[in-house]
Amino acid sequence: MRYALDALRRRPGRSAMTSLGIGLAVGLVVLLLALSAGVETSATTLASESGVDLIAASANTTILSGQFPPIQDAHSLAARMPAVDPNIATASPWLVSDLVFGNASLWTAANTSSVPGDWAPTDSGTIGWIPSDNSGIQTPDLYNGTGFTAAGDPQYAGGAYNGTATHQIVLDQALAGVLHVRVGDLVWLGAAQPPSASALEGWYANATAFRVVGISGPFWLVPAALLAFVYLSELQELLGSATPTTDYASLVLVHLTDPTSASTDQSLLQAAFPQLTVFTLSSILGAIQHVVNLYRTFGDLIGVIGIVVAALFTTTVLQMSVDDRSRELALLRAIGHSRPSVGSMVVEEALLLSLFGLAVGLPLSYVTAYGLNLYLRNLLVGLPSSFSFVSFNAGVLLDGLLLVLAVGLVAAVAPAARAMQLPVAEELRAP
Amino acid sequence: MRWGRGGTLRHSRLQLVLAVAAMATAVALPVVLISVGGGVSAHELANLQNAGYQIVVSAAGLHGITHAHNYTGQILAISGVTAASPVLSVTVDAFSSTGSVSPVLAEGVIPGQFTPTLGPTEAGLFPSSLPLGDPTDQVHYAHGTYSGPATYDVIVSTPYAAAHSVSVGQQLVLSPVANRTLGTTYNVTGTFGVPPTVLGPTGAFAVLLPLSDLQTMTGYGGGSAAAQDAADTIQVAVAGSIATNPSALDHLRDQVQALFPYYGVSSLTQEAAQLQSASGVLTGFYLALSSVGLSVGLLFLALVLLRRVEANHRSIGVRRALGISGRSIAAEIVWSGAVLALLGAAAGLLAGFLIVVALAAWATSAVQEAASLAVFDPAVLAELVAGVVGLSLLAGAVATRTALRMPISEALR
Repeated sequence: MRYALDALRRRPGRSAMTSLGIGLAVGLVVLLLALSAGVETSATTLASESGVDLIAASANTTILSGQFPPIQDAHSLAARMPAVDPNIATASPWLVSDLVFGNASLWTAANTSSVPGDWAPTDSGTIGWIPSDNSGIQTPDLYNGTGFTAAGDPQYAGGAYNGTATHQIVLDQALAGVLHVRVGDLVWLGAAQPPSASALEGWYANATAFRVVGISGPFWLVPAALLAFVYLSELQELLGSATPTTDYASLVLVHLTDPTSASTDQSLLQAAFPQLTVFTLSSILGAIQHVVNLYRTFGDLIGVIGIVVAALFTTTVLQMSVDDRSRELALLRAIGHSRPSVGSMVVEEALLLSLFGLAVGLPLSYVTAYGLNLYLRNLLVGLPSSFSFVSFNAGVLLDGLLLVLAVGLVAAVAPAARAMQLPVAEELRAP
Repeated sequence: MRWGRGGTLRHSRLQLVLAVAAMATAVALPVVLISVGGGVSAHELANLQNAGYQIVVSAAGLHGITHAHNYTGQILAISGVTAASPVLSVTVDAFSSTGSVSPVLAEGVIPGQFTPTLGPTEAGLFPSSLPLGDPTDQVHYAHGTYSGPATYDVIVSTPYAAAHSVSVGQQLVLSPVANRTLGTTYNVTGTFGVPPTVLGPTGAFAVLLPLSDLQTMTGYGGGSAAAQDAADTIQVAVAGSIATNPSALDHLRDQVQALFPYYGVSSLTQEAAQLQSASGVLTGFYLALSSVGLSVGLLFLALVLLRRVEANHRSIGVRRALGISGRSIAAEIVWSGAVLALLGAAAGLLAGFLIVVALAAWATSAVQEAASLAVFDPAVLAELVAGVVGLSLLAGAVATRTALRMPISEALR
């Protein structure tokens, strides 16, 4: 080892350049590994912490098709599911839709026909749910206000849809900011956009006023820049599906008491409700993985090319080193060092160079990953604070270490072979 | 002689070959990324530019355009507009006569307006005259009362027809949910092809029916609590003289926007410009990713050139002693670096091409699809080669500096 260190010390510039080259390549690969591990770990953690163990959608749908007709009889399904499978702790129907929102200022302006040119209703994603039926399922944190106060879904009234409408709404911070509203203010909701300012008065006349009862944090489960939450039946009313024969929902989220045998629960539900397709968490994550594979292929290609370049670089540097010290190596052979002993000196030099490369590459990749994570987190709103796009776990670090050792060993093969086969007499005779 | 002094020259050559190989490997990466990424973008752009419509009207909310029949009439009244096709897209369940059930993407259109908004490629996939009954969709629509007789005709995509053994003349029940009893029975009157899609969910299982039929079936027609006479978009085709004149197209777009100030009205030239801008950002991202390999390759080149200078220090000393100018020696070193870089870049182009061919042949389906669209733009590749050769001058400069700072007396000793 001392001989190898000495060899590197004699050519500090060359050694530094080689270590930098290996470091850049290894850093890139470690960054890609950390990115892959981060997304996978965070997505799996989020999915398991969400409390959602099964998702029921309309029959014959697939995750990747993107075609989901609504589920009928949502309220009734939520009640019947636990009866079929006692392991179901919660079955919560969610209706997800885009709606158009207007605030009081716009309403006043519309009524006085003095709408400023840049004022218009705002588009936002909206979730209709039964707030008290979300037990065990992660929902966004409430920052301000009391949130929904009524248990169940009062307007549904056992399917008659003649109960009292609460007209309560929770907005996420971003939507509340866009609408300039606070807890206690009114917002108006409609399904479609009015075409012009002159149609605003009519739009407000047909829209439904809701009272803001809470401002929530962002919500990662539904990817939307702006989001609002209302009672399920009240959203159905807005969308025209508040009737006993329709009672639509987009999905039913299921939380299990014991999630370890989710596939058994899936089979039970699938058999009892042929109008549904039931997905387990692992099938959803698998489908996402399938989509991500395209990007992973090109990521792998980038990593492999970086490593090949670094290995070629190291090979060449070691060849130079052996050339420079050919007489010295021949002398070592002459005084009794065996061929394997001389070869191992070259291998040690290669491994040292690679480890120096790792020492350069790891901090580089860590700093880049930190910046990339910050950038992506700012780009994608709604992610929980625990979500990280990169993860420097033990697996990634071990992969990085194995990779540099592999680069070192592969790069050492040809130079070590040359060192072992040096013609001793000829080298010593040379001027 | 296997190794030894006589082998030094051979090893010097080996180092050069390895340097060229490293440069080639490093250059292959941007070639792959830029050609595949550029190919996918170009494909999307071509799709956009080959569309038969030039302006798209859209609105926020769930099927956010209301009064679609009425607004279509208003758009058609604008001079220069040749067709305005409202499209409502809803996923419904299809129950075939063989008993199979499948979600399908149902598109409601006004048959007579839809066909003129198809591009040349898409037009070849549809019957020249859609067999959907009333081409104006006004009979069933009946001035917004939806009291006219419906034809209940539907045409189905060929992938759906093949997968579910549905043929022309059969009946198909379409329902907004997975419940046949809530469905409506339609007559299959034709089929249409589906263009290939890239990297996105396919609309392979699709049906096309009159707009008013889909509106009444899904509850977005007259008397809807959500949106009356709803559509997702209105695609507007314009006369050829306007389509090819950007300022005239912008003017017409402004006229449509003036009708519906709160709706989104965009021309395809705007969308194409946005796509091109996004494509430029992607190219920059690919180059940034590739820069690591290229940087290592250039470090490698610098080291090899430096090594050559060290190996030839005596010869350099002699030539300088003979009066050959430093500039001439420097030019020689820089030139040899540039030649090595050029060789590496050329080999990299070939390697990149071969990698793309391999990906198109043997990778996973999505990667194959993307790789098959790769475009090897000579201008972009020439810029890449020029960039690599330009950077190699930097690598050559390091070796040149060492050569010129070498004391002649010491070199000769």
